[in-house]
Amino acid sequence: MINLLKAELYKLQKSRSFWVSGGLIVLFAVSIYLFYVLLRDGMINGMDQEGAVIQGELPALGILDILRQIFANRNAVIFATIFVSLFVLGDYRSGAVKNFEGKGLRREEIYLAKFLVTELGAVLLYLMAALAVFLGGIVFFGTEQINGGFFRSFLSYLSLQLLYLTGYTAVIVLICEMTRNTAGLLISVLGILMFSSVLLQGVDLILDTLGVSFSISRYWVMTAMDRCPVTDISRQFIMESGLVAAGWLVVSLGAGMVYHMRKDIV
Amino acid sequence: MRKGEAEEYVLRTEGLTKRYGGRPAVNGVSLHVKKGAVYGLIGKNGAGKTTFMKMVAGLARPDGGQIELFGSRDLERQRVRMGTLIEAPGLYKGMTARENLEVVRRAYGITERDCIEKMLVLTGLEHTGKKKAGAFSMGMKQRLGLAVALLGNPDFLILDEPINGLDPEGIHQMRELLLKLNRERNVTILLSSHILGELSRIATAYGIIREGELAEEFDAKELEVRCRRCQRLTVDNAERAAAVLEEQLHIREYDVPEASVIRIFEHLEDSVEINRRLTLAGIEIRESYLAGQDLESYFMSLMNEGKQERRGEGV
Repeated sequence: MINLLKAELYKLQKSRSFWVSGGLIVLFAVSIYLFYVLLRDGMINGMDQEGAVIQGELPALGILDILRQIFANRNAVIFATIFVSLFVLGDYRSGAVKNFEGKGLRREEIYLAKFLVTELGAVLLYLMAALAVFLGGIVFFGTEQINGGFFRSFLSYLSLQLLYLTGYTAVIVLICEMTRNTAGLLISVLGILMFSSVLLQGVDLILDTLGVSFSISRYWVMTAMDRCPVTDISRQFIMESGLVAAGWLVVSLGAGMVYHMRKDIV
Repeated sequence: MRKGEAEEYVLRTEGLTKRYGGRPAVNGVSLHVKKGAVYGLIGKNGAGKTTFMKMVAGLARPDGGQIELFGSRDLERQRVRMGTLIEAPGLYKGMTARENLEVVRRAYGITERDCIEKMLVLTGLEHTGKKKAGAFSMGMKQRLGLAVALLGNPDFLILDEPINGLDPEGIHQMRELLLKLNRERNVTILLSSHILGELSRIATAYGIIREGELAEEFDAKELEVRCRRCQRLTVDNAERAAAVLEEQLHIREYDVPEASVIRIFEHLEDSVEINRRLTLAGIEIRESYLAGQDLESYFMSLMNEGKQERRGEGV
């Protein structure tokens, strides 16, 4: 197992998808600051298309708002999904998985090592994004907002998003394992990214119409990502969303491992 | 089977079966690869060669039958002694040859770092430098795939079409490498190839697989005999016929593969005279013809029709 982890870590270190996704996520964080600053300055000093001076100004944003913008609006998770999909699928597309399986290495260990390092990679991407938001905040907004309360909120929010990310990544790894091809994976992952929450909210509505007071969408890990407040996070929210993330993590890991152990390498 | 006999075989399968959608891809294959052999697995596309190899390598689960590796059924443990190159080589296209081998070295827990350099030299890839595997030619990819298979000094190599896509020089190098591994390191090799003439230059044993079933197994000596030009006679009494051949015609190169069949490997130009002498000696000749063909034609006939008589021109 240790050897497999070493091999997977080496692959992560050499993974182009990891570094490209990391670069893009940092670039994205910086570009949000840039757009905000340009828009804000444009609104103060700019004119509309007919030449009239624009009245009003953008609401003032803080570093925590930008952080939420990155993590709650499916931005960072898109880059994480790209990395996870390419990293896991790469073994099947290249056929390199045969090198491990054909050497008598245990299938469950092969899956677990891949899973753990993929999770690590996704977490590192989120940390890169958070660092970019923090440093970008200092550069663009200055250090006025940074105090004890800021750090508490920043780290609490980041920790929770990392927790949700591990649950979400486990689901994507499972889908990669089950599709093992680019087309199937693209359809499944895009479906999850774009439609999962909407579909589940639709189901909530139907249930509500039927008089059933049960919300399915509450138990979807991406709902937790979206709803997580950046400040004043209640203990109940932490418990509930934490359990949801842990549940998806455990179920997806278990299902993926069983599938990997039973499915032929074709 | 006694313990000694079991140890003599690197691979033994009994009734190995794999079905896809209810249809057998491999059906009851009982195959035997002796230690030190270069075993050529021959069959058309879709005959079941790759599926068979995948089951042995642990990539596909058998639906029936048993596999024994190095005399043991603890396959996971024994597969550590194997190296495989099945279908396309499993390479990370964005990595160099060295990096590809480094991944495998770490996964196998091989502590000697210089094993990568040795393997690159062995497979002629030591000068590839920073070139990514994705930019390699087909032949280079095959050689890197072989290098991956050879990491950890396996005792048993499974190679599926290892000379696919290689140019004549590449084929020559691959052949020499496999022979070297077999002779100097006593590595047992199971390989499939469509280039039958090439296969016959290194294989010491053969298995013919047809429509998922093992049609026949034989060794290189037997193949030589089968393909050798001969006069094949079906007579009422092969023993008496043999005596006539020796006493009257001084023929020594012959054999009696069946009770009523005799194969004569010399004096083929005198077949009419041989028939006349045997008839005069009171031996009834039911059939007489010149047999034998080149290896490729022989393999083709086996793959297409199975164990058939190899008829040449009638005498």
